[in-house]
Amino acid sequence: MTGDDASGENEAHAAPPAGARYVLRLYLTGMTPRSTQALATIRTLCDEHLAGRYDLEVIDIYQHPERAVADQVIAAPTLVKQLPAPLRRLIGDLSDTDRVMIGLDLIVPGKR
Amino acid sequence: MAIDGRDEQIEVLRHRLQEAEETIHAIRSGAVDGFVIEQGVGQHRVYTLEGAERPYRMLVEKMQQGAATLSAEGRIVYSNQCLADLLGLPLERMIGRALADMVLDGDTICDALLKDGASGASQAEAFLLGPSNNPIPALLTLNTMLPESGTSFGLLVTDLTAQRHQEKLIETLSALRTTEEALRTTAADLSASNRRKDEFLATLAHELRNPLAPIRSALQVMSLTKDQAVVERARHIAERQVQHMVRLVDDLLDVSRITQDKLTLRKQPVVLADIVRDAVEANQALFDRARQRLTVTLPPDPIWLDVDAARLTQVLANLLNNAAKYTPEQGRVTLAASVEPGAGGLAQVRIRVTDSGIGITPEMLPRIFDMFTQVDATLDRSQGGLGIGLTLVRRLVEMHGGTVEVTSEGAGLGSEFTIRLPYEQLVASESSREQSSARVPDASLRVLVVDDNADAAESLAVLLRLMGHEVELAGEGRSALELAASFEPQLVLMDIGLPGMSGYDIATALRNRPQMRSTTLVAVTGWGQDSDRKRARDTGFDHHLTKPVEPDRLEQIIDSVRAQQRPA
Repeated sequence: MTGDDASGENEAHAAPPAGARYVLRLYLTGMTPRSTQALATIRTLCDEHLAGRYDLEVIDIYQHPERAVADQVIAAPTLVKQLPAPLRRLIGDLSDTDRVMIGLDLIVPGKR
Repeated sequence: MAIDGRDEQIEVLRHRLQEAEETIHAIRSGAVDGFVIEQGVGQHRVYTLEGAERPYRMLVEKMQQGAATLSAEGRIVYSNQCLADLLGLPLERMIGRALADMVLDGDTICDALLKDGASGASQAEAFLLGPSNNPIPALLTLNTMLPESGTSFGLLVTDLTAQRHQEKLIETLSALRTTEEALRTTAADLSASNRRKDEFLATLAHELRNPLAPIRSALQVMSLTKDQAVVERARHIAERQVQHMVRLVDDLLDVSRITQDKLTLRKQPVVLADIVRDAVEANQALFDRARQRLTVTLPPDPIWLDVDAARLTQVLANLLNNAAKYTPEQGRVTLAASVEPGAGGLAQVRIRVTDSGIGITPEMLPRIFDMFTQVDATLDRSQGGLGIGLTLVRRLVEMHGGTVEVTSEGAGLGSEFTIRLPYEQLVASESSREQSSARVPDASLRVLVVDDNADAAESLAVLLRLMGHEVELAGEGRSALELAASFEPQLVLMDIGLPGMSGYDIATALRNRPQMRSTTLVAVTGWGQDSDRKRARDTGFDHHLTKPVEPDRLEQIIDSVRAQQRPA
């Protein structure tokens, strides 16, 4: 039920093969409420849908600003999906789980 | 679906655009709170939106450690509640305060802390001045802050009070453990000392029984033969053994008196040479028997000492006796005395007794003056002795304000005992010397002997009659008083333990008679306890003798009675 943008995006590539390994990086601003919420959301999603096949790295932009720059991350929280391709950045506190699921190719828009 | 190169570029751009849109959307909706900004190559700054630093603030505010930021000069820019509480100050009075003012000896400590902290971090244990200036032990940790933070240092203060308490507790525990250890050692020492006492008692029994056998056989010989030469030799043996026993018992009594602090010195001016002569004389027989060579070296001028002559004689005699016992036949023993400068410029008399005997092992040296210690128990048994002689020596020398020390190169290499006595230049009182050596002309005395033991009374009477005195005997109080009235004795020798009236009662009764006021009363008792002596003095006795009465001592008393009788 999301917008047309998302459905168009999905046309650009095929859904990842079932059981593909996920490599994720979550950039946070230390221990702020948004950071905590983003971390909780992504953990729940991963445990529900990617149990046993994901690596989640959590990076504090205070501690490692250079890594944020290298990953072209401007704001935090930002979730970077390194694998499976294509690379995607999801900006914000991830409170909209549907958008996150779509961003991670875990659901196909409109087929929910 | 086939994607050519152009489509791919469009796809990437579309993604970038979508990300940019999402970023703007996220910022607008407040879904992000931090930004990373690149400032030149490798330079990054993190900006946060309002509220992002709150958790840090809370962390610092609520933590149970004192935290503060300091200016370059060490003044408080920010303090958390914990630090303010620790110092007993309201928060608003913390800001602007110099750290040095809150620390005991703050100037020195804080100078060093700030100086070291400027190059990264520094740490110091110090005392904070708490409420009413109570010192609080604390660990101060200083970190440099980034210039953009607006402060120079971050300060962390850890209260060490609890830790100190714990350390003190541990210390106390360890002290307790040490005490326990010491107690255990003491207990071990005590049991060792107890063992030494047991050994001593065994030795004592042995030593006291030893002379009895020759005495008994001497008595048998004397009753069996009329050969005067044999009797004389037997009598000589018995006499020597009795002398030996008397000396053992005397030593024991002396040790017991010294241990109980009941021995008093009767100091008087004496010449050292006389004391040495007496001490040598007492041991001459021993040296002669073992064919040992004794050399005595004294300075040509007489050394006058203010000492208890009898006691110093005992000291030297004990050392010579010791040397003789532990030196093999035909060995050498020397006694040398000299006056030399001592500590503090005061002159002292040094007396050395050196022998070529069995020596002392290094392990034994420190214990040699201890009670009941013997160099070699097996050897000592054969030599005879109780292991108290050297204890007596040390105690007596110390009572004279002197010291005694021993050196030995080791077993078999001889020993040297050195006595040092304080030497005060005495004005030689020749008159007192003359008086003591002046012989009072012999004169017969009337002596009354009171003793319920007929044998003891009779033997004393025989001795006195041999000395040329007139003697009467009484076995108990009533006859003693009657005899005293008619006989008018000048000297009364009285046993104390009598049936009916005790010796004390008789003495009191005699003293109440006017004609008996100047009579010399002498108590003769078995054991010379100090309490007995005191009671004897209190009830009017002039002297106190211990059985068996020594003829020498008796003669001294008789001399003094004669001196009294002499017309002034």
